[in-house]
Amino acid sequence: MGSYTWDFAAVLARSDLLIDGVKGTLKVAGLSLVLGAPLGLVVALLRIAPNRIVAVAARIYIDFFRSSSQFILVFWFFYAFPIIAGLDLDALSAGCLAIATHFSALFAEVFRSGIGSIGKGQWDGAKAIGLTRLQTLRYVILPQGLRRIFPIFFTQTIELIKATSFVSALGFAELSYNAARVASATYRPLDTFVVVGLIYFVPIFLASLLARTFERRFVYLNT
Amino acid sequence: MDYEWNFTPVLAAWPVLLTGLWNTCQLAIVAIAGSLLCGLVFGVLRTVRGPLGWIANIYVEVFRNTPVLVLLLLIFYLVPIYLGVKNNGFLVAALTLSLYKGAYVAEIYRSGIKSVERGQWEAAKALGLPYLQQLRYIVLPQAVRRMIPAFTNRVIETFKLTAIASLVVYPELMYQTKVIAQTEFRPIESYTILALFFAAVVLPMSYLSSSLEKRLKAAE
Repeated sequence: MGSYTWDFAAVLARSDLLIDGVKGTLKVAGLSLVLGAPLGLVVALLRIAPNRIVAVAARIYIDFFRSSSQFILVFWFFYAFPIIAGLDLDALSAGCLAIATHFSALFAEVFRSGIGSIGKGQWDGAKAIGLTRLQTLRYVILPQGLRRIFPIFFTQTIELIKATSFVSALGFAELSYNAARVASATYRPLDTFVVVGLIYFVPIFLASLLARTFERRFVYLNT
Repeated sequence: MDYEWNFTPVLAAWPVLLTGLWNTCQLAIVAIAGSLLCGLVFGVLRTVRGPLGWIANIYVEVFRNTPVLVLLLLIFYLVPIYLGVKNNGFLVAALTLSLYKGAYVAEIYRSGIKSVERGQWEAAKALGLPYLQQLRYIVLPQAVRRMIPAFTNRVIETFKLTAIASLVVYPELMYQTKVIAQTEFRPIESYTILALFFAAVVLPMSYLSSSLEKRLKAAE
């Protein structure tokens, strides 16, 4: 016990796999975000729609996907969803869909709180100058609301990046999956996961620091 | 689209699922208790100046900014070497979830403690209470009430995360579902039941948590 000899050189010798893994992770994160954020905005707008049925449907969507476990959702989208939808999905698409839907529900709540934070006077003012509901949202409410929620949105995006590691369970070659490959190739799992942990930690930590600065700055701007 | 759903073989294997459910509950309870305890210790330490505060800060940053999956695998390989315990999926998963969620809970404690006015600390000090008693009798009782909604959310998150224990071969619900999916050749039904089950447990929990939040806000 405690007599373990660390050898990071063996792990770094397989940096080709690690770099490929980072590329894979960025791909999953990018696709999930590009899919999840607009979807979240649409769901948020449906959630506050004047039509009650639409609003309730959006609420059920949000509640269901917020409550589901990300890890289980990844499996469900890989095994069950393609059959139900009649689609042929590979591990990458299924994984991205799972992460995107889960986070779209979280994003929708963030967007909704941003829209809700805009005073009623703004709506009344827009109506007075003859804007339609959609124009009011597009030109008056969203530009102000989205600016306010940017720090929370950014924090959720960091959580999204952390969640991409679940896609490794489907066999897609992102960083966590390639970590397992390096571990078995070098017979050094512990050293490998320390290195891979750091590859995740350093940029994510810097991003969180940035998120905290945003939070402070935006609070200042909004008051 | 012409897939024929058949839940019967999956439901017929209910004893397997029941074992999984029992194991999930055990893991969830230990992980929730562990994360609340970890969070309390490190959350209090974060408000302290000096090396202890620094250690607590490093702990929170490392565990909050690394994917839980990577932490799980890291701890999976650390435990046999540094704790001398082999093939114990429960220990690995419980440790990982406690430490990972504990980092989030520590942050709740820290901001909760900070939200208590300075005057309360000073008054407690004036009464001659030592630091731990100031914390125990004056500050924490006021802070904890404000932190309850945030706690319930973390508890729900911890429950949802127990599914990753299947990766370290702990036979909780997700693992048992995989077993059924393979033996009955019914992955679609198996994973659908699993997803619905988690939503069915978590949804009422989050409704309870938000109504509790409203009631506490009204009470303030």
